[in-house]
Amino acid sequence: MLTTALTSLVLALCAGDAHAEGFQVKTMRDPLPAREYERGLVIGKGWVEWGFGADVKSAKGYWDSEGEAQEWENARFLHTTERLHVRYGVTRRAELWMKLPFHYQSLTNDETGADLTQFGIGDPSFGWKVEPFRGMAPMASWIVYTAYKAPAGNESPGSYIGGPSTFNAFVVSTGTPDLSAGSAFKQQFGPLALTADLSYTRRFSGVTMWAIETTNNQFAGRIKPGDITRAAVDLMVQLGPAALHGGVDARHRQDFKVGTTTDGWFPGRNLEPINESSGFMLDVPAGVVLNLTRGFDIDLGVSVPVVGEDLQFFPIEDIHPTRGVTYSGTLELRF
Amino acid sequence: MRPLFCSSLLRPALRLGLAALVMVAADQTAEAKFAQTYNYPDLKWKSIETEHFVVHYPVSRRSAEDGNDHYLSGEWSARKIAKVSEDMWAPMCEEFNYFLKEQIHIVLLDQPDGLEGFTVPNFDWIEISANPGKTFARGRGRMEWFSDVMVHEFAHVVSLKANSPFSEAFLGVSVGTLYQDGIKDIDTGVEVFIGDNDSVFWTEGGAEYWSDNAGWNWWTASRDMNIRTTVLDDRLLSYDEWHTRDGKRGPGRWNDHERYYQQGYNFGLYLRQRFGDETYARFALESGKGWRLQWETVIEDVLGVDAETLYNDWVAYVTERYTRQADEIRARGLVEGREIAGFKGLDWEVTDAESRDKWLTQANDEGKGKGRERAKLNREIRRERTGTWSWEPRVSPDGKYWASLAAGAVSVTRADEEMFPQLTGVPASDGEKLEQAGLLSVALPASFEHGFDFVPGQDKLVITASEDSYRRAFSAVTGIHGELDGYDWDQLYVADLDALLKDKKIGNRTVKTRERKGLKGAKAYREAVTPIPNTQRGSNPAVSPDGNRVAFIEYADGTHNLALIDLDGNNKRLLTEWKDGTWLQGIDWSPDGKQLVVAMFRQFQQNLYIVDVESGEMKPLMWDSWEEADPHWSDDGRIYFSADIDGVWNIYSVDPAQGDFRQLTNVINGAMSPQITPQGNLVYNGYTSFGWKTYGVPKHSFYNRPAEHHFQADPEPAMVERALGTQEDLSYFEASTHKYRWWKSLMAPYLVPLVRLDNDSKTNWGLSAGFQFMIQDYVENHGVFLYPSLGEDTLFMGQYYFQKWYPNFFLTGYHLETKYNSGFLLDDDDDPDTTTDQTVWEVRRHQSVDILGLAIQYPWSYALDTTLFAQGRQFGFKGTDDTGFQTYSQSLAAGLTVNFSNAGGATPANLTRGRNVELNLTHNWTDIVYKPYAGVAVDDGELLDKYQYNEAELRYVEFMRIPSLGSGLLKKARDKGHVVQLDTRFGFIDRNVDANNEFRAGGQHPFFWGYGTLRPNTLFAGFPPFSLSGETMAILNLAYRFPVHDWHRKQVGPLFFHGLYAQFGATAGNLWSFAPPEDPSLFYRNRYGERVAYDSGDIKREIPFIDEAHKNGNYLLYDAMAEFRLNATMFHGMAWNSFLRFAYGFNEVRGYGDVNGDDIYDTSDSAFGDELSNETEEPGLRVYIGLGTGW
Repeated sequence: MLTTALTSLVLALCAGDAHAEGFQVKTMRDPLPAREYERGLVIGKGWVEWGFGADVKSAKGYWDSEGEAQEWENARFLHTTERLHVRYGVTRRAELWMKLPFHYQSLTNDETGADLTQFGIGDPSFGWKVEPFRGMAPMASWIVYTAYKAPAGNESPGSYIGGPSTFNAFVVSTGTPDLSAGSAFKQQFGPLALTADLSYTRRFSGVTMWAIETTNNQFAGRIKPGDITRAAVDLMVQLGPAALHGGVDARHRQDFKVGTTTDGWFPGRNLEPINESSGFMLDVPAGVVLNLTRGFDIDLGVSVPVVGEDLQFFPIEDIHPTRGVTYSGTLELRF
Repeated sequence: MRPLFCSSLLRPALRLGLAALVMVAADQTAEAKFAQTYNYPDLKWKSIETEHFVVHYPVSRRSAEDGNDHYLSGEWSARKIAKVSEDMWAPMCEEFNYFLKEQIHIVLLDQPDGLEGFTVPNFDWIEISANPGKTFARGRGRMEWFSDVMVHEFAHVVSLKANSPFSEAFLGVSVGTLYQDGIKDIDTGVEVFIGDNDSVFWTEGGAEYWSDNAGWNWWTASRDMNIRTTVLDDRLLSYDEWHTRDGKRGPGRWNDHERYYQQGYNFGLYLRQRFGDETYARFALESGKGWRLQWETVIEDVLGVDAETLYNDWVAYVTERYTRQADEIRARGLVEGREIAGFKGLDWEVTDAESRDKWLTQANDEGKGKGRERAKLNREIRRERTGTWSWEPRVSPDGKYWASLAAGAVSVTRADEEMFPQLTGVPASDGEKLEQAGLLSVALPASFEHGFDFVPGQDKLVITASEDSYRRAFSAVTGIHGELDGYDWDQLYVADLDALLKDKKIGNRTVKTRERKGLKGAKAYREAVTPIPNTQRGSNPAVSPDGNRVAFIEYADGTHNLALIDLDGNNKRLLTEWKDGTWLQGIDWSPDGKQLVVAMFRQFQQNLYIVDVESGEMKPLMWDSWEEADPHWSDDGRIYFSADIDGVWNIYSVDPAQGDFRQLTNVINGAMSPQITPQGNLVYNGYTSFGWKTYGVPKHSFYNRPAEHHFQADPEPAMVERALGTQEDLSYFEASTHKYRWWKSLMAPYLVPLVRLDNDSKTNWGLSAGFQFMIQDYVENHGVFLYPSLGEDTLFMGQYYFQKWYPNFFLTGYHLETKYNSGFLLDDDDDPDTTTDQTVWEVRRHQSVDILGLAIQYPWSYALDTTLFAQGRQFGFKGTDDTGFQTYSQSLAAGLTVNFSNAGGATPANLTRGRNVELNLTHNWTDIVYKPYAGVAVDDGELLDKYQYNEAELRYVEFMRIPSLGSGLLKKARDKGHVVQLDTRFGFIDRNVDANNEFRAGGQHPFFWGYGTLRPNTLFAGFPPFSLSGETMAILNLAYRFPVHDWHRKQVGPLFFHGLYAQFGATAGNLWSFAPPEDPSLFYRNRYGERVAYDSGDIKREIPFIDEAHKNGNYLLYDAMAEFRLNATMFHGMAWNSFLRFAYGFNEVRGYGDVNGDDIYDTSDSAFGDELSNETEEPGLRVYIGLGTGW
């Protein structure tokens, strides 16, 4: 898929308005503002955006269940995400998007001699954005959206005996699906744009390879990660081709539950919560979007964790992330 | 408690592996060309680039001078298209205020002789043929093919782009789910495809209307004839019917396809009068604002009047208009003769109250209990039964033979003129002559509406037929025909009727007959009908009065020319050398053989011309704005022809020496293609709303009114000379012509998102989403198809296809990872009868399938293709203690697939004729590499490691209407479309193989494979999916199917219901395998307790029908099945075919793994108490529900 995407991009970049190729500009395509602060929250009819990006976090510790920052003594954990995303403007007011992550991870521990690396597919997600309201000059955009995260990534620890010192494969997926619904609003004020985002993620229960019942033949156990409520605010200022932005990203997570399956349509109803597994997290993200052309942006960012409250399901980042500053970079190409 | 067993472990892998295999096998050759079956590597392609268009056209690599029998060049046609396309770009875009930024690619076809014209606006693609054939002009009344087809297709491009609320690459989104409940044995599938939608009357009628608005096309007498007859015979498409394109099929619906073009066009003209020119275009712009469930609501949004009210107003308007026109024609004295069909009068020729009542009663009886609409349909069916495409009625000069050109054949009837009551007024009564008519009549395969003629003084005809019409006997009888170069051009043949004669015994008499059937018949046809050399792409033959020469029309590069040739193919001479799109239509010789009369259209002028045979000099018989056609030069010296004077086609005649035009018919419908019989009567081609019929008018009944005032017989010579001497100069396109460059001619790609929820256990989700993506170049030499799908199951499929050489090459890669949950039933005492000690525990699995395949496919004909393929496969899985996928097996396969399909019928819900044959011959290599099993698996008592095997599989399906067997009841059922379907499947593997390589059977919901597949989903529907396996397979299914209800396109919201069908059937057969030895001295037990033979030679192959299949515990399996099929469409054309199927399996089946389909692997010993099975499925009912999933 990556190859295909790259091929498509090369073709897209080669395509000019005067040429009659598959990616020529079409009449039906919506206008798209050149600057980030003027853009709505859906991409617009006829536009396709391919994004290639990476997130890098080097963690030396974690948040404990009391919200205290803890450091590991000898371990270093590098968690990276290499991601491809596609946004596709199906109609003027509706957008289909997909995200396919891959993860490179490494864990070293001088004391134990651990030196483990792994690269593989993560959990892809996809969803729709619909824009019920769009205001022009100044731009205002209100969207509602849904997202589905599928548990495609590796969920096998490579060993029946769990724990930080015994696994020999990184688990990059909870093994369970998530369904999110949310709403976001973006309002332009002169060169400024303020975006607010509120969402709720229902994390469904599921049987996973990494949770093993130990009383009977080591069959798979059922888990349910805690549902997440998220609120985020972002303020952007456009300075020429550069859009500087920063804000806060807060999340509340409910209890993590574990147990065995029950019959019927609600197989997780008898799962038991793990004490102190709920928590609150707050990150401060900031970044710059460089609008090089209408069809090409570079998006650079950093996210600093300020508050966290976790149990350490190490190293399952999808449940309880490790603590560290995340640096991001994305190339966005659209045609 | 039994430990995990490999076949249990891998059973879902097997399932997915099988799915993957079938999908890849199907997909390997899925991307056939849109409009051409063949690749024509003998052609090179060129492109003309203009400001808004790129026109691609073919030219033969080898010239005619170098002996190329199929030389072609589309250069002039392409230039003409480039010219007219640019001319119409601005006016058409202006209609919608939608000025295209994108260039539109037009692919010109000149390889076939038939009409082609289609558009895919999303791809910026128009494909048209240079040769329109002839039905186009007959139905639409004009021969200006290039501008008419271009403006129509370009109107589609602009209107549908403006109409669509979606991004153009987005063809729609498919949302589907399949829930397989293995406990209740109910499988439910639903699929909805949400895409653009628009009513077909607007789409097609609109394209005609905008053509008119833009100044290139106009309402003609032929179109008026279509609507007039339709209105007067009460056959207008109903409000519900004209919204959907879903082919108007079945008896009683002739020409409805054309009706939605013409009704839509006419409705546009009506709206123009009421609301203004731009009304139709406003619908597009309104629709483009946002997707709607029912497109037709745009009409009310734009006009403030709902669509149905406007439809009813329009019906009233056209009814009043055409009733008035018919009254006026009647007032002038009707002369239309009678329909000639057989040797007696026709039921509907109502002459008095009694005959009318009789006719109505007969029709009503057929529809007893079904109401007025059914009775009306019955009457329409009866009227269509006398033939719907009976063209060019001709009588041999000696009066012995009557003939007409039907679709696909020249029907020659041995009959004297006196036998036709339509001419004599008396029914035929001479028994001997009637018997002769039966014995000596013949149907000669011929091209559709391309003319024929009798050879004077001989029992011969010259006909137009395609190169492959008279094939070898085997091909003719079986329909299996191999075509290497892809060309099947028309040419002229001499058919010797006497060569078809043979003796036949009737009682104690020996009579002569031309009845020819079977292999001998086909051989006789091939010997009796011989091609005339040097007449390729020739048509419309006219034989000279001395019987030695043939005048005919020769086609090349969008243009007709007049040619002469001797009957033996020598002395060919062109009388015209046009290269400008001139179109000729009918030819006939003067009685003295010195002149020809021909209908010619060029430069928007259509008239009859007299041509001097020796000099080639042409002189128009008239020069006017009417359209004259179908000239016939009778022995009485007069030329008979048809013309659309005052908007109604009638028959006229003229003495070319005197110029005294006379009108011979005065019809309400339409009269064309006249001929005067030896006795001076008139036969002509009469258009009715029930088909094109042969009509006859006795000479004493001719209308015979002077008609000079209609025709301008003396055009100014200088004007004519100027018109004939001028050819449009298009040579300036030379500068903008270049070699075709596929990389600069990539079609706009399409992207169809798919969302699927496949769930069979409730406890884990099976939601995945992805998209299908395709891009190819416009000439379809190269293409790429991608299908990534992300979710709990992750799929990446990619295919490259190369279609530039004789065969098609497909390279396919496929990677599937799937996660699933399943349960294990632990039984403490290993006794399945005590359940209190049983517990179910879950496991989570992650499996992978990788496939890489190369297929080389050649289409020998439209029905037959063969594929050579090679495929590598790998199955793997991952458990909790695995750090990566563990390879279970690797395999290679190479083989041959032969597909033959000529099944057809009025509706896909009820195929009524033909057969599908699929033969697979494969050589396979398999290596079991999973290390925990030491690289071996146990199957049927044999240790399997690396092995090779050969596999043969045949699926044969025959569809046939039930035979009447002389029974009135059966005949009635046959006429109503009752069908018997025989579905068989046989397979043989020449050694014992791993369970993953065995044949599998069992019921399966069709949506398991994807929409509307032809996988076996009714064979053994009474048993769980994949529950049966073995190395030998013999399954036979017999089904009886019949229509239950016909809604005639009943609309309910966005759904259109067409027909409901019922089917009953039963299956018998089994799959047999190898059995492990029973003698304890011949086997040992491994750690799982399996019997393993010391010597592989001691496992025994089960003999079909003799041995019990140990894997399922039966000699033979039986099931019975009942099904309802709903033929429906959604959103004006998306198929939404649905079904409800009940199946009952009469046998208990057993096996290893999840035999009962509940996703729980029973690890206790089964009721059979042996090591060969662990689960059983009791006899019982299985239910399959498919809403929008196909059958």
